[in-house]
Amino acid sequence: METINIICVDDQQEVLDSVMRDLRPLTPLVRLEEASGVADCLKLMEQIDDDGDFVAIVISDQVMPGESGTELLGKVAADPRFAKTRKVLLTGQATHADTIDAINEGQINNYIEKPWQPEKILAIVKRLLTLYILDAGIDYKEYMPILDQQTLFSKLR
Amino acid sequence: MIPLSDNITRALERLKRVYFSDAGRTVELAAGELLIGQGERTRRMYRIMEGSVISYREEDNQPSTHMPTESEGRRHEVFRADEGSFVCVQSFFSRAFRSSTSLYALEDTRLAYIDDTTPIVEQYEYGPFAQQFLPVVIHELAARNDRIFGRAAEREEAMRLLQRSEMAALLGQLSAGIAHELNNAVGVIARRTEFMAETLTEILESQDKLNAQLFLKGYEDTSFLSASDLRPVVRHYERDLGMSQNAARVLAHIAPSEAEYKKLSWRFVRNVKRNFRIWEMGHDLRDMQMAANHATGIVRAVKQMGAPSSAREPGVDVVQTVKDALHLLHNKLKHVTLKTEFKPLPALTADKSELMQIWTNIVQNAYDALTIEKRENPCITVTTGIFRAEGVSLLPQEYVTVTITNNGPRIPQEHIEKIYQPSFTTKKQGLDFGLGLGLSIIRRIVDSYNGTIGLTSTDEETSFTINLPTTQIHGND
Repeated sequence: METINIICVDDQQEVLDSVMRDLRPLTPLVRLEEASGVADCLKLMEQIDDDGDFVAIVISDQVMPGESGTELLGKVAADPRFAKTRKVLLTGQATHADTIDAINEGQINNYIEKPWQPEKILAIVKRLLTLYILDAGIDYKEYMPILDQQTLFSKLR
Repeated sequence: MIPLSDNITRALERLKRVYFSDAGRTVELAAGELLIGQGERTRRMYRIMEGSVISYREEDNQPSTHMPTESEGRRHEVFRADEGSFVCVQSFFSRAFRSSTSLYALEDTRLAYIDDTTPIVEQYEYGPFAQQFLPVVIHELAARNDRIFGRAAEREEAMRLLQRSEMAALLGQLSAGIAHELNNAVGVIARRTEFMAETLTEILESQDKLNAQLFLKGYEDTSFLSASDLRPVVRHYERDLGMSQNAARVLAHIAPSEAEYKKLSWRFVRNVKRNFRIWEMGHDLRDMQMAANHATGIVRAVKQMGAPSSAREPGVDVVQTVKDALHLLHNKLKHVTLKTEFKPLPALTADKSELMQIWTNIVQNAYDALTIEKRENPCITVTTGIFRAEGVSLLPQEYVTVTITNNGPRIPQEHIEKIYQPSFTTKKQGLDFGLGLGLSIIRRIVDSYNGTIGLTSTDEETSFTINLPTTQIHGND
């Protein structure tokens, strides 16, 4: 069976630990990966693609040393291999201009503010995961326990 | 002092020669002696030939025979006049013949005068008395103008300083209040986390030694491994040991290398597979404690900002304060190359926390400059040394210097001019915004040590140099 990955990107390990923990209910049906920065995330995505696996969602921090989250999500959006990958900006420090860029350049699907509510981030990720699985033509039945039922039914109707 | 045309200067020279050279019409005063009291009658107009006088407006209208001291009566200095100036000009020409202020000699002073009986000289050539004395009136007007403009500028500056100190005081009160509240809240978190860790260790010890070990490994974890370093190790453990990703991640933290893995017993590894969450719990408590410590540090810094009174003590090792400051910023500085070169320095009489505030602020600024512009190979260099100011005997001779250099962008000239002003900031992005108070506070602290701040900025690098004298001038501690 193929592996579906969700990648979290943040330069602060404590933040990564928290996001990973909040999304743990999705495992082991999907694989959670963490990346410490933009370059690391792109390398990881390359590897996942080489293995023939999927990147369903990238959840990125905005302010990181080196490139920003918006720049990362823009690159992901521009890569045809990851055209269906859902993009989330998770940040407490984005300015108005960053937010505009994130929507226009990063083509983000969701914007989550720090500090976040665990149930909310899990609900958002479930919804985006459901959309990705349907979009990518993956057999959704395998993933039923972690899919957003409402999204699933409205799409299948 | 007062700019006048050559014509007027020449005319004034003539008046001095013609009207103010009569030895019979001179007055000599010793320093501090009264020339004329406020409201007193006089028919004379004086020219200061030697020395200088000071003019006071007396609030209680009771001029004393000698210059009043600071504590005597309410009085305000109106002006000072030196050689070549005229006094009692207005009372003379207005024919009021009454002095509007009290005049005292500032030093031993000689004045020449004319009065309303002085005969007119060379009227045919130089015109009537009023015309001859027009330059004196102009001189007087120019002097008064100069005084008024000077006063206006002084008043404005005083208002500005007052506003600035009021703002600083308000911020100080505010931050002290917030600091107090936060300190209590953070204190509760820090202490209870510790209690929890102790209790859990005891409970686990009594039940299952392996779990207690696992918990402590999480609680005492000091490894700083990045996600990219861990990833291959996690995959390796998942595959080779048939572990879940989460358990493999914990094992990768405990044993990031083959050598460390070999030190573990198979029973311990088997326990990680089952109970990795116990490690995570320990690790969470560790993170909570670190976060609480971090918050405590911030609260302390805010508190210091609000409390200008400092405890200065002798024997402060400046190099150590620099090291402490860098340690505080350790987490941030891992993204830049940090180069240091510390020469041992003589001990200072100083407040350690003030010094640390200076260093952390400037290093933080350097870091911000490097990240905002996203420099390649960002680098901060911190050096310490001794500087001797030779030949300038009035200033302290020996200085301890700390130089903090970054290879960030050049600071534009217009920013350099405003850089120490409160509320000047370039950090307007996001939550990490600046109040613009950093360098103005640093300036205040450095001033209080009679130190100096040097700033040079080129396209290649920007460096701040703080010089602090090793000896404090008397009266300025």
